[in-house]
Amino acid sequence: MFNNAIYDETLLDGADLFVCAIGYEARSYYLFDRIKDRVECSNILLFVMDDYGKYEDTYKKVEEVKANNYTVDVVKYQDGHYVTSRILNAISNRILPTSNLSVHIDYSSMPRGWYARLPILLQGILREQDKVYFWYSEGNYPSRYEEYPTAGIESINHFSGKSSMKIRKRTHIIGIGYDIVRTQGITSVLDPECIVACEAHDPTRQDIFDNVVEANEQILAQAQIRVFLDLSDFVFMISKLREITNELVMEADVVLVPDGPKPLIFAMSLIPDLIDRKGITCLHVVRNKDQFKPVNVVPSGKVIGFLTTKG
Amino acid sequence: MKRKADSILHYDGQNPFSDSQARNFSDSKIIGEFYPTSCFWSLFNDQHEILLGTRGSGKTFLLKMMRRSMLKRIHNPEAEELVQKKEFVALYVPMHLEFVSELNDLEFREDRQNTVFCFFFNCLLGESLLSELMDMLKEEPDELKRIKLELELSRKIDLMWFGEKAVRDCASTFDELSEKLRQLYYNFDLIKDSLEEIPPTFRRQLGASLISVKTLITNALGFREEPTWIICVDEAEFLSESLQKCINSVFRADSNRIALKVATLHYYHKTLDTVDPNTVVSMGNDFNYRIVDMKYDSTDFTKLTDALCAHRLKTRLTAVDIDVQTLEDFLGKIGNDELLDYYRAEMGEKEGTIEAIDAKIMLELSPERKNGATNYSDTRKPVFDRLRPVFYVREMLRRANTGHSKPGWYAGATMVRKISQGNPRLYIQIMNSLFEKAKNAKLTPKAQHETILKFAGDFCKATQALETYGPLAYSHLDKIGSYLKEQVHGEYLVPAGFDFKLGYTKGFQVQENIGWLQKAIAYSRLVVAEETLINGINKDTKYTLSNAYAAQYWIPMRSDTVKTVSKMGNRLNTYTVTTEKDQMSFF
Repeated sequence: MFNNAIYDETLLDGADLFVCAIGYEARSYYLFDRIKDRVECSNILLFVMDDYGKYEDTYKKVEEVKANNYTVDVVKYQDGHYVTSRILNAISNRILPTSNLSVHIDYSSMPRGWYARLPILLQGILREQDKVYFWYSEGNYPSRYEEYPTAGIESINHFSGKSSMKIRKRTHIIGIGYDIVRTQGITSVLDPECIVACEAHDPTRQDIFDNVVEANEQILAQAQIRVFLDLSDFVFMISKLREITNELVMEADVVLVPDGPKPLIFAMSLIPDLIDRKGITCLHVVRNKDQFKPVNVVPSGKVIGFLTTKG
Repeated sequence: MKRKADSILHYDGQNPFSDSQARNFSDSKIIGEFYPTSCFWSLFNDQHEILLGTRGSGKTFLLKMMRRSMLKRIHNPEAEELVQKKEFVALYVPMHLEFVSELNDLEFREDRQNTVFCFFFNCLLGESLLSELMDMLKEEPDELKRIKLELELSRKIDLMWFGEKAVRDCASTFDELSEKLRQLYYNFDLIKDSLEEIPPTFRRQLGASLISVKTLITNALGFREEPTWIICVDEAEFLSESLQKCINSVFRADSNRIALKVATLHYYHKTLDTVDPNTVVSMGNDFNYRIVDMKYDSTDFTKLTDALCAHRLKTRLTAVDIDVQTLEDFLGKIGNDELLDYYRAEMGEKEGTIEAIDAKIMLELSPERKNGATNYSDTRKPVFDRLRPVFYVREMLRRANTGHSKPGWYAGATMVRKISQGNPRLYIQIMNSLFEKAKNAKLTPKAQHETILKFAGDFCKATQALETYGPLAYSHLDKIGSYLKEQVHGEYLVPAGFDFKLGYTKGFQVQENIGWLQKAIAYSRLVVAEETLINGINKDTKYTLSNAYAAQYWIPMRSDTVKTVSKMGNRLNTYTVTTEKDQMSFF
């Protein structure tokens, strides 16, 4: 069902479907700029956040895109159902008996509710020969985690899975990253029981890893298990998370709380549906709108991704 | 007093204080760590009660321990009496977020949501009941009798719950019954399935899975008279207002010898409405509130912290033999563990005499106060006793700011209990930090001070991320902390403490600020009187900064003249990110 993928422009051709969301980050349209000349205009599904007018660079970009006759779909952050349906319909409509379908989804700037369930939902649509790539443009980190603004917490909602009925112990697998304040907020609200702290980073960026470990010293000290994963190896992330979850669920309910970098959030969110066993749930943290200070993330130039097929 | 913490220097085993969450604990662990506070025994009554407490105050421990299966394992005369008399049978039903949010997040009509909640609740209650029944049956020494009893009860309960007509289709053991219950629970599709598919018992009313079978259980198990069944509903803070109405409806209904104990955070019991729009519940008549928070200097908390420290070190430390009975044993103690002792240890004997201290105090008073002080015939009581705690903090901050060393000020068992604010969870978290420190360095007062101050700082910083109102709470508490700090550390020494009121204006109204204030109280950032916890916040409410905040802002942890903090405004402090332009955000 999953394979790692190395980004290469030659993977795309005119008939492929490309999906992305333009937001306040420059990296949200990085891939779009790279591929737009390769993919037919009608095969680009472009979502734009409805607050784009607040951000000068984004506004300019959207106006430029419109001027070049691309169709933009202006949506709210919370329009997850609508966006997901649009993407699934766009894919369904392009499935032809005579050809293989190739889809590229840039989820770098999408809210997690938009992309996290797609691979599961696609299983009902894809044929064996079809491919859907999920791409993520890495951005550049601050040199110190203390300079990283917190996104805070608005609420924590159920995303997938079903808790068990029997009164059992619970293990919380929590994704960690730079936003230590948010992680502390998560632990305050959820009162996590046995903690598995889960981190993912680019192995070529030791400084980021060191920062995350330093920032999360307290939660790492409390954690029963610490898992450090390679951000670019999605297959391994899924495999490791499945393994840990399968092992833990024998003794306790497992509650996954994804946070940290998006590929990690993505992998963690998929686990309850992949394992499909009672006692495994995933909760999504919604950021605090008042707290949130948008930061224009500039792409580093590195794109990582994975491929999902019928499986 | 010798500090036992020094024995664990270079220890590389797991930190015995690393887990602080009662819900994860196995029953044996809970029993091992349980300290029956004065509140616990009084919970065994036939009243509906809402247990209010801050996060980590011990509500889960209290409720879990009320079960008969747990009481039997406590060696305590009161527990033994409860078990023997069989007047109360408690069942534990947690409202985990992952269970409840599935209901909250789907856009159902309220009546469908309530019915589904009722169904799920009754399933969980049924499962809890079966678990307790299994344990009760073990009391029957005759195996044959036990099997017959289990068969009889399983069939009768099955009939009541599922309406099985044929005996052959009835469960014959509790395990089979439990399996049927599980299948019912898991196979129901929240969105697609019709409510008619739910057996009537499970959708009729909250608690019906117990109400329908409690009499036959009582008869079968030979109770002299029907006990009071206590349904312990934990984590009720995750229930939406709509679901809380379902709980309130139980308060209003005929009790049927059932009492609800509902644990939630302060101010999270948001409605007095019931599912009947014409009916509300009233405090005092239909239910009572009970505050379960402990004071840091209460006997209960002192004994609990000692017991926890001793127990964890005894049972979880590997390869280190450390005999600790009290927290003082572990941390060591300077003198009587009072402020004066730590001041003296820091400043030396000569400067630490009362005379030297009072002389310094006189120097720091304003000219007007100096005149006033010298006119008193007995200067000690009214002036110096009141000012000494303020003076100590001023001196210690001066020392901390000189740069050459940290004072050993925020140290000792009393200080740890103060910073914990009477909250067992916070206490274990502080101990976790102290233990980590002790692994790598001697836990001198200076080392303790550094660790505790860092803990306090992290605690304050984590306020930002509290749900929804975190940023506002953080910003305002920072303003308040800074203001009170200025009062303490101004040019002249004045009576000061951590109590305050808020000065409301047109731009800063009570109602607009209720949200963050309630959040701050629920999460131990602020302390208010019990009356405020029950009746609510108003413009005259007096607040006390938590001791962690007082430590962070170097404010003496004492009550004094209540300052009014004005000019609050509602603008948030903005973050200024001073870094290069390239950054990444996670969400």
